[in-house]
Amino acid sequence: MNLLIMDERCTEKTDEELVALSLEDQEYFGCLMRRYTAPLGRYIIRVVPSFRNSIDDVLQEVFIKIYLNLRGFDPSLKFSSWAYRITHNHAVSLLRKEKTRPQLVSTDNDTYDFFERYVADGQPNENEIRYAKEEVSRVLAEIDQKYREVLILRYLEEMDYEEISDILKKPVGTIGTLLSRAKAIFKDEYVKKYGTEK
Amino acid sequence: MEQKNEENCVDCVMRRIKEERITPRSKWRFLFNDLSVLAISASSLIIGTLSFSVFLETLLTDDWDIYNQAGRTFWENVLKNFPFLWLFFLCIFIFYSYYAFSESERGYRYKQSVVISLCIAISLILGVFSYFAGIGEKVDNYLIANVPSYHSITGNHVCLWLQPDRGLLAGMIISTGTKPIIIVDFQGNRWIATGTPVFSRGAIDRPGERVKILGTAQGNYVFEAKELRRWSGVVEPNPCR
Repeated sequence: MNLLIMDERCTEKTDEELVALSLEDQEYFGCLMRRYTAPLGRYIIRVVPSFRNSIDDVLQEVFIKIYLNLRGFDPSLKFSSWAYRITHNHAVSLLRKEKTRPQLVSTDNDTYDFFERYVADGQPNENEIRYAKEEVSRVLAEIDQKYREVLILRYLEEMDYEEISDILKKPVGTIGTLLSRAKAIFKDEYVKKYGTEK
Repeated sequence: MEQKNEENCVDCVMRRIKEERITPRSKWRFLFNDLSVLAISASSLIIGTLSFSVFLETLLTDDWDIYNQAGRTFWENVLKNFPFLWLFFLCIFIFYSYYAFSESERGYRYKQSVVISLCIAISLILGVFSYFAGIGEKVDNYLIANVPSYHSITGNHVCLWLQPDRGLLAGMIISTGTKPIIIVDFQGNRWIATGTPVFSRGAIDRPGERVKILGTAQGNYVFEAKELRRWSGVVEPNPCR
């Protein structure tokens, strides 16, 4: 089907509608993929940075899994949460294979926003921004995976508590507790590594 | 990610779906998986209920007041009689029930404390009901009769009651309601129970009734009985080998 026509047909459809349509016509699945290739790709690189160079292959596997499990999609969930859940589980299984090496979390502007909100003080210059990104990345790599993943989902992927709960399959209360601990641990690790809190 | 790369990725996946004829898995498969998880959770809850029922059966039919007479200290009696095994099973199956539920499609949304509390409450409440319905006794009897090492793990109270020199005797009434009462103990010895014993804890003076007797041994298989209590549970052959 012509890509342009397909795009027009998909633009006003919700994710949930596209899921239902994909079960009748495969081409609609392409629309879902176009919507989620960038965000899921970014998320995978954040969780498993060492797979940056093979991100296309990883994304292919993720989308195949999403397609295979399409009939298992629970409409009471947001499709984005469900897709992130599949992606998260796949990324975690890749991470387990890479367990021996600490993973530096991919740095970008979102990483800096997180740093600025929770660690930094004052107006930084360009060098400070670059160092801050590297510092955040190193500290995130050091902390336990269960804390790292909630920090990434909350502050880099900007998910709310319910979405994180649906992605990680944990109660909302547990997510709140994990996040509080994760922030405290992040600050402690930062101070340990880089001296006094900025 | 660049637009071109995105399109390549989409094209690759769509091509692979077509070439490998990949189709979404059947809805029934997901339904079956979810129902299986819920069934495991429910089964664990049922086993937890049974465990608590047997726990109560074992706890409440043991005679905690005679440990001194039986030559045991209080703590020795607790160690030998308290149904630790069933308490352990109860905890394991409550945990497993909670775990299976939390792995179900929507179960993870509920607070851990709420789910665990519910599992405990259901097991305990239904356990009490099933104890009063006699299910605990039936399970206990079945295990005594069919699992050879069961009594060695849970504590053998038969031998406790076969100590006539300590004033403890147990067996089956074979007389027909006349005095003295004739009893065959669980090791096959015939006893004459003299005196005017009190019948307590459901004991009945009737042939075929199994009883525990508190009293004093007089020698020559004569036993002066002070109290008869109903015997509960199956007695395995050669209980004190």
